[in-house]
Parts: sequence; structure tokens; C-alpha cells
Amino acid sequence: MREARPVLRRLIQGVGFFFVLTFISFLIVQLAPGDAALSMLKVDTVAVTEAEINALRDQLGLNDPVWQRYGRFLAGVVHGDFGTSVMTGKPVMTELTKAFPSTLLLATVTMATVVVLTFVLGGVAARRPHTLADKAVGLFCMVGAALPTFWLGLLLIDLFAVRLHLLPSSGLATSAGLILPTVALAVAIAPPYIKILRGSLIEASGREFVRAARARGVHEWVIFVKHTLRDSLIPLVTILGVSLGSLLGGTVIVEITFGIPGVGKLAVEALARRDYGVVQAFIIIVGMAVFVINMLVDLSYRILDPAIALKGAERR
Amino acid sequence: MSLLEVTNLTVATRHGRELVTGVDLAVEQGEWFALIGESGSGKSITASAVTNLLAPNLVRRADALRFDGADLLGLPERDLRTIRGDRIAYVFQDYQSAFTPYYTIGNQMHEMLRSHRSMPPVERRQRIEASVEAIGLDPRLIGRYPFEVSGGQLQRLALASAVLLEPTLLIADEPTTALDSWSASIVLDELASIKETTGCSILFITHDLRIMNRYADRVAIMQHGDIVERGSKDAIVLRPGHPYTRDLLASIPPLRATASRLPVLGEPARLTLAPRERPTDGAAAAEPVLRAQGLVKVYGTGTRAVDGVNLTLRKGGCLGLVGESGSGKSTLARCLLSLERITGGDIWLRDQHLNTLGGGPLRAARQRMQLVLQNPHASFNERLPIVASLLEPLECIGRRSPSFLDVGEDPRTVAAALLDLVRLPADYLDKLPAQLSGGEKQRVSIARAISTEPGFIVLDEPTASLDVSTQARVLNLLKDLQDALGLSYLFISHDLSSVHFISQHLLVMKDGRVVDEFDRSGLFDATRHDYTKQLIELFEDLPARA
Repeated sequence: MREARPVLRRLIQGVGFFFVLTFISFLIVQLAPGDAALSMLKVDTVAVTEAEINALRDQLGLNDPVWQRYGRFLAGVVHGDFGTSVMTGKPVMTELTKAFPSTLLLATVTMATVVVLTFVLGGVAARRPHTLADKAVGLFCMVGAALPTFWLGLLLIDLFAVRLHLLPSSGLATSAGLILPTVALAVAIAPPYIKILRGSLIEASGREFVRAARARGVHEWVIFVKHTLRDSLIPLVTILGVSLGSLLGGTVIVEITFGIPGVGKLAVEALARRDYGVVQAFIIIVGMAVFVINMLVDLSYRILDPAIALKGAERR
Repeated sequence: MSLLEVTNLTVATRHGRELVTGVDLAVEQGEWFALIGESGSGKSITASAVTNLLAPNLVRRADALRFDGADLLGLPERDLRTIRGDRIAYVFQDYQSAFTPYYTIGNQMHEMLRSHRSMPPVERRQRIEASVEAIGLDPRLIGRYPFEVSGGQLQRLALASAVLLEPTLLIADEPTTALDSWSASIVLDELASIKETTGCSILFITHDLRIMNRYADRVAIMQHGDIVERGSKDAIVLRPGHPYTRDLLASIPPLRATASRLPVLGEPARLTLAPRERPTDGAAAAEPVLRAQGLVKVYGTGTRAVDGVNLTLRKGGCLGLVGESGSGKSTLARCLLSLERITGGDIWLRDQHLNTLGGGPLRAARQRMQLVLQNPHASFNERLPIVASLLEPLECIGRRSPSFLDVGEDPRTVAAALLDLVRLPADYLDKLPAQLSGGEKQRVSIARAISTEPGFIVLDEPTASLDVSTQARVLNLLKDLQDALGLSYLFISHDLSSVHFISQHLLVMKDGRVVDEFDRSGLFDATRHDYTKQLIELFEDLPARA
């Protein structure tokens, strides 16, 4: 019961969030300037009559009352039907399912790299603060955070693809194609994590319970891994969740730099062409994904800190 | 040869500031050695330095640091580790941090055994359970997380874990300071019985001279990083040589004496206040300012935190409320201050029926109550200078100056005069809270509380987090202010001797109920409740000086 209730509560929240999200994304498109019917008809640069526009509006259901249109939209969403892409004429879902795998792959590999980078560099810096190693990590963080991602991407392409011919410059045709975009992204994302982990590790190592464990004669590395690191995880997991969410939304700059057909690129193109179906689907799917990630992060607190699970149980 | 020999130990920060300056110390086999000192005296640092548990920014130096014939100074960290927990074990003050909150207590006891011995898990388990049972606790407690057991139990479990490997030296660093007197006495008795059964030596660090008097064989008194006096316990208690030792001894309010001030050094006896009209003794002084009848507070969980309490606080008087933690005394205070909605009963502030008030009238009534809290560090906005915090209550009620001051209406002059009442210089006005010591902050809290001339002041453990000598000075100050201004106090503490020292009338609380009630002079009456008698025993006076 103690374990199931928070999950249930989150699921109910999720349903509520789904309605809010779909309604807002529906409204944004309704209120956006421009007329989908008009822009569809205008493609051929032939003059269109008012009657023709109205006919298409009727056909698209654009003349119905708002709640009716929302209901229709919602029914479609529940069935995975986000309508048809105005530009390609294919179902929106097809467009998205084409783009998502690349993004998902890039996001996961990047996140894994960031985590490894964070633990290694943050750990090294925190073990011996103010030493050369710590300062080197600090320098890396500063440079990494300051470098514009597209520029680093171009530098990487120039060095490894153009000059050394070691790695492909674009696309994800081979797994080697993942390396450069992952590096470009991880270098940009990791610095705050490294800083945060370093800070919380140093703070944790000054805690009384760490001294108590040391006074019991526990091995230093057990103290570090089991006691100190554990204490530093909560702030880290929190922001990792946030980053994963934004990675799933696509990394427009990197996708464009490396020619990766991901959702970020798709969404930007759809926006530019007022392809509302794609934009709506993008908002809803990414929004729900972010919600699920945050839910998992919240639930993970209960595993990371048993006190949270207990206090949560007491409150009810 | 002594078990532990420390010669000329110096501990300094990396910037060269010396916190311990050349301490010599010897703990003999099987003795209880008490290292006495107040916060900042370097006693805890000395204890940590023995096995180099110091914070990374501290460095230790010594001519010799020998334990059982072995040189601890030259030992590399990995050999020191094998000594910690096995030969030399520690118990610290902060019981909540005795174990890491993310793992069960048993997990960490297993971890400790694994760090020192290789034995099958079953054997480890038996050993742990035996150790927990030996201190009189249910072995099932080890399956719990640290935050799932009470403070007293947690400290006993820390003790059980410290003696798992039967160390030859147990370093107890203020192990009972954060506990209420009841839990403290249990922990202390267990320590004594561990020493009895295992024959280990105890290096006991404390500022509590009652504990020293009760248990210690030999004593060293520390001040400003150095030992100022040492000797057998009896010699220290009966024939203290150093002025600081005498001051510490004088700081303890004795239950059997009737002195109106504690004879500590460095405090003027009287306040200089313009003579004010004061209620004369007799009828006017006996007028009740605060009355509660049948007070009940039940929490949502069904806990009866306060269960049918009657009390009367008279004008110019001090009502003392004694109880261990969890007895409901702080909840009672919150109810009386209308900070907590009561479940049943009535409260009157003079003739105003407090618990029926709401909104504006309640806010107006609140202006006539004040509160001084236990933790002086949490009672100030860290970003505001003292003058701003000090004058805030007056500003809230729209007044410029309390009537007992004759200094005009200039805010800074008023603030300076208020500080002068609590014996702080005027240049404290522009300091930030972080620049003040705990005792000084508590003085500002008191000045702030009296500034609005409240009908009564609730003092909730106002001296519990202060050093003994500071505590004595704050108690003296509270008495002087009461004499000069006719203040009415509700003084809450688990420290019977402080409550008894300052109050005319005492209530003893246990499990939400008042189990005993008596006048100051009636403390030793035969009619006292058993619980009160047990408390009296815990606060037994030090023998009178020769």
C-alpha cells in the first residue's frame, strides 16, 4: 500500500495533465495567426474564392464550435491519430515515428555519457578539492559550458570527419555517426552536473554520519561509494530528469549540425511551415514524456531516501 | 604505562590558527576520564585528533600520541582505520548522524563488523543482536532506519555498535548533551555498565559537571584550547584551583540552595533602570495574567499531546514547566500562544477568553505575548542587522519605545538602551546575527521579547543550547529583568535545576499531563510524585566546596 499509493496518485495526476496539455496545445493552434485552409489552397498560387475556402474549412471541420473540435481532436489523440501533415500529406504519426528513433537514440546515449562523465570528473574533483585535478575539471566545465554547441560540432566535424576521416560527418547510418553529436551534446550538458556533484560530494563528505562511519573503521572507498555518493544523488537525479526531458524534445542545433533527422528538426520545420498537426503532436508527446520522466524522478526519491517514503506515508 | 598518552598535541587550521595548543593527556587502563570544557574549548577536536578523525582543513601535531604502546602519530591512514571501531571506538553528540540515514542500523553494524573481521553473516548477526540486547533494547530495532527510532534509543544503538568489538578505549564526545535528562541518564548508566563488564577506558567529553561528578575518576578542564586544571574528580569538585573551574562549578543552579543569583564572575549584579511604578507584592502581584483550564490538544493522528492541563501564571511570577522531550510541554506553550488551535478547554489572557478570539482581536491579543525560543541561531533573519530584528516587534505594534525606558523616541537610542538592559554594548546594533555567539543572540532575543512590555513571556528551553557558564549568566539576567520590570515568565525546560532556580511554582509534565505541581520550596517534600523524585535524583547537587 505504502508503495502503490504514490504511484496511483501520480497516474491520476498524469490523466489531469494530459487533458491540460492537449487542451493547451489545441488552443495554441486555434489561436495562432494564419488559416490552415487558406494556406493549403494557396499552395498552387492560384486565386481561390471565398466559397472554396469555406468549403475546405467545412471539410476540415474548422467551422464547428470549439468544444466540438477539441473533442474530435482528443478522440484522435487517444487513438494515436494526430491528423495529417499539411506539408507531406502523410499522417502526423508517421512523420513523428520516423523522427523519434534518432532522437531517442541520441538522447539515451548522450544521457549515459553525461552520467559517466559526471561521476568520473565530479568524483575526481571532489576527492581532492583544490588540487590540479580539481582545477583541470573546473577548466573543462568552464570551457564546455562556454562553447556554443554548433561551433563545437563544426570543430569536431572539421577535425574528425574532414581532416582525419575517422568518423562520419553526418547522419546516423552507422553507430559511429553517434559519436560526434554525443560528444558535442555531452560536453555542453555535463558541466553543471559535474559542478553539482562535486559540490554535493564535498558537502556530504563533511557530514557527521560520514565521520561516524569513519570512526567505526569502515574502508574509505566503502564510505565514498556507499555513504557519501548516496547522499549526493538526489540533487543530481533531479536535474538529470530535467535534462533528459529537454533532450527528448530534440536538440535542434545538434540535429541540424549533424544532419540527424530527429524530432527537434522536424518540429522546427513544422513550425516554419505552420504544420499544426505535427506541432500539436510534438507538444503532447514530448510533454507527456517529460511528465513521465519527472514522475520517475519523484518516485526514485523514495528509493534514494527512505525517509521520504516514510514521511509521505505519515502524511496520509 | 597509560593506555592513551597524548603529549603536547596541537591542532591548527591550514591557515595556522591554533585551536588546541599543546595538550598533555593520559588515560589509564579502565578509568573514566572526563575532559571538561565549553564550546570552542577544543575538547572535541582533541578527541577527534587521537585517531585523526579531524576535518580536512585541520592539521594535528604532537610530540607523542601513543595508544597501548603503539605510536598513533606515524601510522598511515590504512592502519589507523583498523584501530578505529576495533580498539578505539567513538560515540558522538549528534545521535541523528550516528548512522547514515539511507541504510538500516543493522546494515551499518554488519558493515562495521565486515570492515574488521571476516566471519559468517550468521555469526555477525548473533553478535549484533547480543550487543543490542545487552544495552536493553529490542534486537528488532536494527531492522529500522535511523529516523525510525527515538533519539535516546538511537544513541543507545550507537553505543551498542561502538562496543561491538569490545574496544579498549571508548571516546564519548558529549554523547548525552542532545538528549533530555531522562534518556541521558539511561545512556550514562549503560556506559558505566559497559566499562564495568568489559574493563575498557572511557574518555568522556562533556560540559556537564553533574555527569563528571557522578561518573568520572579523573578530570581535566579545558579552556581556549588548553588544559587549565587537572586532577582527581574529588579534588576538582571540592578544591578547584583555577578561576575557570570555580566559575563552571558556580554555574550549576543547586536544587538545595536558595541563592537568588548564581555566583558566576563577570556580571554586574543589578540593572540600572529608571525607577518605575511596579506592582507591589500581595494582592496586585497575585493577579493571574494567564490561565488555562482543561486544556486538550489532540493531533490528527490521535495523539493526545496535551491532555487536560490547568495552569495559572501570576503577574510578576515565573511558572516553571518541566518535562522530558515528547511530554507535550512545547505543544502546551504553542497552545497558550494561540499558535496552535486547541481541541478542548479554555485559555484566558487576563480577562480575555483567548481561544474564542480570531482575526483582529487575536492579533491584538498576541501583541501582549512574547516568545523566546531554544535555538538562538534560528530565531533571527541572518540578513538583517541586529537593530532591525530588535525593533521589529515595536514597529509591529506601532510604538516607539517601551515605557520602562526613558531615552526618548529615537529608534537607535531605544535599541541601544534595550541592548544595554541585556548587557550588550551598543555597537552590536549593526552586527549581523552570524557575528554573535549563541548566548549573545539569546540576550538579543530576550531584549526583543521584553520590548513590547508583554503580559507574559514564554521561554521555551531558552538556555538548553547554551554553555553552562553562559546559561548561568542568562538565568541571572532573566531574574534581574524580572525583578526590575515585573515580567511574568512561563519557563519551559527539561533541566529541573534551571526551572527550579528561576520559578516560584513548578509543573511537572509527562505524556501530556501534569503529574506534579508544587511551590519552589516544596521540591523535597515527601508528597512529591515518583516521577519528580526520579528527576531530582538525576539533578543531584554537587558536593559543597571545601
